[in-house]
Amino acid sequence: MNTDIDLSDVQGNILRGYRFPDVRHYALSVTDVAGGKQLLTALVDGHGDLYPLATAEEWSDDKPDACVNLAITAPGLTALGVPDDMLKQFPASFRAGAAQQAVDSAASSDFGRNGVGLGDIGESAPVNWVVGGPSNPEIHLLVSIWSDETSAPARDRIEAALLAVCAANGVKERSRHTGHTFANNHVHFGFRDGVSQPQVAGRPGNRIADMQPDVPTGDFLLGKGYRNSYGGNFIEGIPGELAGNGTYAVFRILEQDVQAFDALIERTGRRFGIDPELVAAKLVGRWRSGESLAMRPNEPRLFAPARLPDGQPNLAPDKVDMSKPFTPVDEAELNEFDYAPTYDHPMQYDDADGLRCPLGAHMRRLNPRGGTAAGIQHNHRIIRRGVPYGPEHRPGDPDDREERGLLGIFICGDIANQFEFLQMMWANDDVGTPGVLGTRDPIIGWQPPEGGTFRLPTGDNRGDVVISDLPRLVTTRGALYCFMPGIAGVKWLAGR
Amino acid sequence: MGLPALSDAHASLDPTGTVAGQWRGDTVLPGAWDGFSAALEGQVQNSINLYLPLKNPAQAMSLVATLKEAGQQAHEALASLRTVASARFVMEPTGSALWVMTVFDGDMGSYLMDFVGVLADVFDAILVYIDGAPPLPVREHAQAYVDFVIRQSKPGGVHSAMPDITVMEALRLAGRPGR
Repeated sequence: MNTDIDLSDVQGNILRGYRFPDVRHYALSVTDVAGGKQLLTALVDGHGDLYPLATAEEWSDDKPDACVNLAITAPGLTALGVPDDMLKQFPASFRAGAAQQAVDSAASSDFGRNGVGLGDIGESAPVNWVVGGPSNPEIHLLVSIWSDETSAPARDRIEAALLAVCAANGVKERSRHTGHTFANNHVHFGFRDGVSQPQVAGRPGNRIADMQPDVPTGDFLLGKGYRNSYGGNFIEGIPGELAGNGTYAVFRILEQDVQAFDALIERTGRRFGIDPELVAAKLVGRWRSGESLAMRPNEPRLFAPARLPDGQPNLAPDKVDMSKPFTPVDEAELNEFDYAPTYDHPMQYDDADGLRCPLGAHMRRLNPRGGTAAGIQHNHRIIRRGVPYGPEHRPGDPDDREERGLLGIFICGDIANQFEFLQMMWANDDVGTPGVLGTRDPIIGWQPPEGGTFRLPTGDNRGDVVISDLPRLVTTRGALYCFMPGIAGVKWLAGR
Repeated sequence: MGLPALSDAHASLDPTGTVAGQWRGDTVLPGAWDGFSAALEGQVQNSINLYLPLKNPAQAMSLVATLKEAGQQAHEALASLRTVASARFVMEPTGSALWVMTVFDGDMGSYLMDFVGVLADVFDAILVYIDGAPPLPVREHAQAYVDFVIRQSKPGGVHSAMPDITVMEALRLAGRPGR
């Protein structure tokens, strides 16, 4: 473990996932500077049933039953008394905020050749958001309670204590966003999630098997001592007492159209004579089990067969057809692959043409690993802490017209170079890697009204299967650009 | 959009008749370039025409020597990015300014930090000669460097004979996909 990181000063969900199934995010507005500072003090020290902010320190005994975290928007820093000249030291993207960046990026040719910028246009435009948009109340703080299924009473007590402190100090709850993880870490599209996370240099815990190198600490933590991928540090001129051991978190509410995904893989499978489960895997880059196509190009081995006798995709171990041989894959193995041979792994299959994993597949676009991609290799990584919201939908279930999706927290040391780059250049643009011209990310990308394009190389005499009726599967319903201060930073804000 | 008369464009571009160091790019070449581009709509190539006025034209040859020394490093660094189709350094005959002209795939703002990652040392060596340069070293002041490049980059899209073929695609077609 790298002892250069003061883990007691880093909020807990940055360097490791809690693996709690429940989350509640509270979007709050400060109406009085002193009251806001009182809330920060309560969050740092704990207050009655309100747990103090969780840190990255290793849990000494048992895992706690809940953890609390705090993120602050740029208007939130102002509302807490941070002067303008200090706020100006923060990066322009953060200061502009999610809604403004969505609008500006779509309007400027500097953001993506395709002219959609972050992709938050049409139904995804900020004007339609439920939080963070121009028609929503200004949000200053995002407090999150992550908890175990068995600890609902604790979570409810923490919530009651939090809301009581807010009420006593003029902090208004503007909206609440509740999520719950499904069995085996699956999300609504039916895929195991959270498989691949950057291995941050100096993070606590064991290193998970991964053919990618560790990511420099400075890509995720602010501080003069933390070098980023460019040889500098992202804290630049921001005072260390405020920003040290902090980072940025992009909160996004992403509605997922599962029925449209189901219909897409079914009709594509029928049209081209391909198993719909293979179509699904090709679009995402992994099987629903989490196994990469780079490792298992023909069928998954974790949950065999891909479809159960009733035609439903096989999602859970308890539905495995035990009459068929299968070998469970340890979670630690799910990340040990690459798309090309490297000096460290020279025997890796070279999938330069995307015969195993299409070049435009969602997870390959957003993390091309050792494969060919524009710019510095293994760059633009983000940490994802997503939890589904809405009722669970299993593939093939009838359309219940319920809203469902993902409450995403995307953590990075620089919003422009990490989150926005991925969203604009690799998801919604088409020059990040060979073979994707004229296409966008099939899962999270914006798609034109006539339908988007996806190329699925077959490696046989059929050439590429070209899917040309991709619907937009993910709609942005809200977003906030936040700063996640270190514990000392919260104290500094509370005490100014 | 039709191309403007090239004679007009050249008249604006040519600083003939100006005194060394007088033409500052940001003051003498105003709206004449607005809307001008030789690029096709939708082509993958973009360009940076970076105008770097020297603090003192007497240092021009010293800067040229620095560029020669950094040439191989710059070549390897740009090649590693796999986005840059061509790049060149052009010194004004008067020694008043250096132009760094780059043709690359995609959008300028999105890949500028990559230049910091692989070319910071080269830019440190160049920028000590430049009037109005951002604080150095570049790695420690990356945002100021990015802002400076955007500010100093003059418009003028580049024509490409292969408007839909990226550097990566071209290398792949040539059988040299690299990493």
